[in-house]
Amino acid sequence: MIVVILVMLTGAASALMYALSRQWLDALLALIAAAALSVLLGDHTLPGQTRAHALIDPEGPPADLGDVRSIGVKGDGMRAARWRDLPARPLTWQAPKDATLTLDFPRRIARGSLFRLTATRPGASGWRMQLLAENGLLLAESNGKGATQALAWTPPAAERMVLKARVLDAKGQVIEQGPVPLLVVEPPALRVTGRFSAPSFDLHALHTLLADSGALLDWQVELGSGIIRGQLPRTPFAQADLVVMDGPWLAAHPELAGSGAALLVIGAPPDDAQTVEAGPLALEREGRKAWLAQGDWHRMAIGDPRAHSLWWQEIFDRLDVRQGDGVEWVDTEALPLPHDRLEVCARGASGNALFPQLRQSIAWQARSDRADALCVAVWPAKTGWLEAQSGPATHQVYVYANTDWPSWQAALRRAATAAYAARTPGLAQARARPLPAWPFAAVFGAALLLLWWRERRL
Amino acid sequence: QAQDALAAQSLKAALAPQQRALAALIQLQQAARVARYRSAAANEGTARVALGSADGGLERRAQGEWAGAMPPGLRALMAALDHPGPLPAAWKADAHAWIGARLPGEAQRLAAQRAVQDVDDGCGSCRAVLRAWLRAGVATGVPTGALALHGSPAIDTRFARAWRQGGAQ
Repeated sequence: MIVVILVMLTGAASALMYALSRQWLDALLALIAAAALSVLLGDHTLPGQTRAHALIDPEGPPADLGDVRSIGVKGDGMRAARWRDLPARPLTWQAPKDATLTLDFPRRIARGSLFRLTATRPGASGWRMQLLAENGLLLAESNGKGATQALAWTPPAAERMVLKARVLDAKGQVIEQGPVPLLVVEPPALRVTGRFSAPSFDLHALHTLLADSGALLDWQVELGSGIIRGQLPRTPFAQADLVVMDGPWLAAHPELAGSGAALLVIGAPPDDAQTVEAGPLALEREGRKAWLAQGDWHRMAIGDPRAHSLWWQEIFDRLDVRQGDGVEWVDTEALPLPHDRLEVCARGASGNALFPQLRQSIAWQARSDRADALCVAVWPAKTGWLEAQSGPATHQVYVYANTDWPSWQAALRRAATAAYAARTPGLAQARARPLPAWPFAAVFGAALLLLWWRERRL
Repeated sequence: QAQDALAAQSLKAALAPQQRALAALIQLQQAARVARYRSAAANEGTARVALGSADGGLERRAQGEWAGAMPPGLRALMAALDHPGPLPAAWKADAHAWIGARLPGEAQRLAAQRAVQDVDDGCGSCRAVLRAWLRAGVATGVPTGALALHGSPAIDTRFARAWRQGGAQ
């Protein structure tokens, strides 16, 4: 700015000196030269323009689309991580009609719980899905009916593994196969206090189920007057996660009820209890206390152990039995790929997220599209497991190869493209262009040359 | 005679029958303890129970682990097979014993033993295969289809805190 003012002052002074000596043409030339140079040095722009249409290349989307009024894309479109970087614009896109595959499964489960894999092939029939171990051993198979099929398997050990899933057609030919990563974690042991005034087969079945689940049991059953059969936990605990007792014991020891743990009373609820009835379990409106008015579950334990444990798991879930504390990792990305943005989210995390393989430590950030979880974004470098840590909690995310599950990738791209097309389009921002410099440089040069020529001629 | 012994303050001679009864009681208690220990050792892996009185005379006993739990050596081997590093000492013996005891069928046992040999020869990609065979052995050791019961993790987030405070007001 100061330079521009100096140029204008110098030009005005030169013009004044020429004018005093009545060289009107030279004064004019000096004024023109000063004006051209000041325009050249000033930071001037032209009013902006917008582009009408741009075709997006899914492999390398442009970094900036601010001045484009509408965009188009061919094929399956782009992944959600790439669409999210672009401003919303009206999209012209024809969704391909060929078959896709969608898989749905948990990436992380606790040891001893059921792993369910659901596959969807819209419009297809007579196909089935197989889950295989790394050694080719068949672990589970779907029933082969309908467009959506599910299979279930119980991982026996706490480890991380990359299983294989196969989609077969009616003749048993492999249509598609790919990796199914699964992280099985060992949860902290459930701490249960049990107090009962009489033994029963039901209590024995519950005790066996809890002991087989690896729970820490502080269990006492009164056999007769003054004789208690009991068991102390292998490591003593002060605060239980769950207290189970029967009605007579609760009546005799009401002080055990208010310990802060979830409380399950076996027996019918008293008449004055304010409960929410749904099925055999009567939940108290305030607090985590429930009455279980159904017995005879030991028959189910003998006849169908899986249904028995699932029944108890549902009761635990409704009672909100909490076990351990820390961080719950949220998998937001269905199919992470290398060199693509990966969002890692967690509930209950604080401080920094650490990625040892990438040598990155990033502060957890709240996101407007997630109510409760904190997220960080990383760009994984290669295919395989990516470790994440937050304080003492650890997690592993499997990064697929670009060639894995092509039709699932196509389905994800189509869904992401459709979601982008449904966004409310924003207006194109006219982008200001810089003023071209060369005409002013030419005018300035010509004026000075002319002045120099006239000075020399005199 | 007993009164004489009492006067002479020699307790052993004074209460001879009682002394004998006491010795027998002590022996009986020891025998019961040994018998209980032996029966508990026979049922290794299942939950043990102890009898006690209402005033809390329970003994602290080892509690049974999960039915599918692996021996510690094998668990260390499974963890080591996850990474391309050195394996624990005597891993081959552990693996062969586990394969022989747990895998059904000659074909599976042979394939698993081949995987052990491959890993021993330094094949990196065969480690996952061996791990799958060892895992299959765990699965055959679990008799019923029962699942393990779990609670949900207790998670403290800003949202949960605000929800609780709103409920308290």
